[in-house]
Amino acid sequence: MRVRLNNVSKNFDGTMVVKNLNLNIEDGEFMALLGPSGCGKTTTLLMIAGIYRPSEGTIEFDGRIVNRVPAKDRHLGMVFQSYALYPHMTVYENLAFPLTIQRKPKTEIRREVIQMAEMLGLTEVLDRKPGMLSGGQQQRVALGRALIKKPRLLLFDEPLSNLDARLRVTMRAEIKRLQKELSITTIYVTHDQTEALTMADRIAVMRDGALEAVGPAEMLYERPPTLFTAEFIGHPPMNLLDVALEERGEEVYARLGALLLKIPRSRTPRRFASRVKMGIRPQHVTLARQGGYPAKVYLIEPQGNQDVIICDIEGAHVSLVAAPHHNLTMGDMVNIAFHMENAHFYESDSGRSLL
Amino acid sequence: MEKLSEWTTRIALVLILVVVTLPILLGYAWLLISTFSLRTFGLMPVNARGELGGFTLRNWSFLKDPLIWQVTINTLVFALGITVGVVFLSALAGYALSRMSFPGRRFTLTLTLLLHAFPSITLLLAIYFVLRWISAVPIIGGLLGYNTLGGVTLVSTAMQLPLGIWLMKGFFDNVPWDMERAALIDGCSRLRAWWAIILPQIRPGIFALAIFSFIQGWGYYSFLIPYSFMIDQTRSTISTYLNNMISTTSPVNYGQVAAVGLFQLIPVLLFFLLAQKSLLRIFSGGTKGAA
Ligand SMILES: Nc1ncnc2c1ncn2[C@@H]1O[C@H](COP(=O)(O)OP(=O)(O)OP(=O)(O)O)[C@@H](O)[C@H]1O
Ligand SMILES: [Mg+2]
Repeated sequence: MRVRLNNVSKNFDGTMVVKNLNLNIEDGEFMALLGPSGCGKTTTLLMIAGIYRPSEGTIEFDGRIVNRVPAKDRHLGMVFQSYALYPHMTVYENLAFPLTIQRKPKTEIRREVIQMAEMLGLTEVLDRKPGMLSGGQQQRVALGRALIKKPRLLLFDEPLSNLDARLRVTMRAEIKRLQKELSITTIYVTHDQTEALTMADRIAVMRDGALEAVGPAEMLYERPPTLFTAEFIGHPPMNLLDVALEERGEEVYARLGALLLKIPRSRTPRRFASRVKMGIRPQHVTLARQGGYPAKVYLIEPQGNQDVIICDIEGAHVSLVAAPHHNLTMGDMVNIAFHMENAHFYESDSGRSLL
Repeated sequence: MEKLSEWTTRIALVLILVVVTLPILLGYAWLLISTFSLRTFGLMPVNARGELGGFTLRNWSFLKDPLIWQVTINTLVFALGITVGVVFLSALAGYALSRMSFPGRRFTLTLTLLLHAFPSITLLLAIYFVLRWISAVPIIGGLLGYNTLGGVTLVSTAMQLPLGIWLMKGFFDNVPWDMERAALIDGCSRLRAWWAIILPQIRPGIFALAIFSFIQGWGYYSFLIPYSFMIDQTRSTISTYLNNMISTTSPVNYGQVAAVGLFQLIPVLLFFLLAQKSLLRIFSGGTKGAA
């Protein structure tokens, strides 16, 4: 099912929580809604679900405006962060509930529930109440309850945030596989960029109720269109440095304190702005044996497979990723090199990309 | 050693409880004994010469009076009516006040609280006129008007609604929103979600309110309304029957009054004996595993 949001806004008692949202989700697509806490992701999702009515704008399913269609007639499934299982019903009854409401025949319900339980590995616990399940099992029940009525649209609201790290990785893969197998249009709300990057076909980044950027993971990672996106996506976060742009003959340079960094042609800003931020990912700053610029090690954060080294350079902190066993300690002097062919430039005030 | 100290604390606890409950137990014992005695000296039934004796069944003779059975049935209808009315209306109103936004919601909440604090005795006169007025309406008047069981049930229900609504609102407030949203998305209408998903979460609360309402209706607390608006003895409740006995028979036969009182207590005692387990569950925390 295609979902379309046209200038959708929501205000609660005068505060605009969602502002003028425009978003297209294609049939079968996995769209992630990514943003920090409180930016209006859940509110957006609940408007799509039909729990809230948009204050302004329209929501279309397959070209039909559904603003006034109640949740029960929207044919969608939703998984909540809290799972929202029905505590007084057994797992079987929880899974069967959407079908019971549809007055499906008992035998058919039985078949569907057993099939769903097998698919999700819940066969053993069908007779238990949700209170007697582990978090991972509750999660599966919630997923099964959303899937069992074969919805045309699946909504997830931070479904994995209550699971431990290991289980989260497993469920991430499982949800993605299920979604591709069933090819149900999916909107997945999360504040965890890893989830968004690994699972979604496209990511919509939200900030303060407004849409900041939309695009596939690679695009948002390699060419973040705004400062906020650049900051939010990628781990460790991108270095953002206040620089001044200088033109010297044919060449363009970025001045960081006393340093002059040559900008290659492919990365030359289209226009100059008075206040500019240069963005460069820690992966694109390296320790240099020769050349590079002197910097002092400020902090080392080991991460197992790699170390994040934060350096003091020209009054700014620059983090870089290095292989472990580098024998550095805090306070050491190092030489670091900026791989400027991966640099980004943003206008500080508007946050817009200058590339 | 540990076993021993555990035992001493346990014995101490039991002793304290016994001491505290003893006066109440003595009261009930006296009630029970005096219903079978001509008169009592302390807990001892005595005859006219002050010696042990004077047992009698005379005090229980009121059971042969057909009026008492009529009155018992009336009381049952009255108490059940209040219970059903209070629980049903409170559950609906409490849900609306907890979950829906509508103009006048805050005002209604405040008003409900105020009404609860309002002494009902000051309303007696106004209620009299309202009931009289209802009596004048054809058909309905005969069911809900002045001097009808329906009328006093209606008034008593109304008196208890403010408290019931507030209690219910509190219980609904504790049911997570997501659960209701899930029900709506699963295909429920608002009413269906209320009935199939939300109400079961607050079952202990409903049970508590039902017990409370029933006891209010059955016991002596609700005496004022039936006493004021029911002139007809055959339509009245046990409380008023008891009251008539005290105020009309002269001199008052306390043995008989005690017997009627005990008779009135029996259903409540039976109920508590049977429902003990569920009652304990209410007080120890309600729904478990409301994930
Ligand atoms: N029913 C409501 N009434 C009033 N304000 C609300 C309501 N629901 C949400 N808000 C406000 O709207 C803003 C966005 O809330 P929302 O739940 O959509 O954020 P979110 O992006 O899902 O955050 P999180 O990641 O913490 O879940 C918050 O400031 C919140 O306080
Ligand atoms: Mg949220």
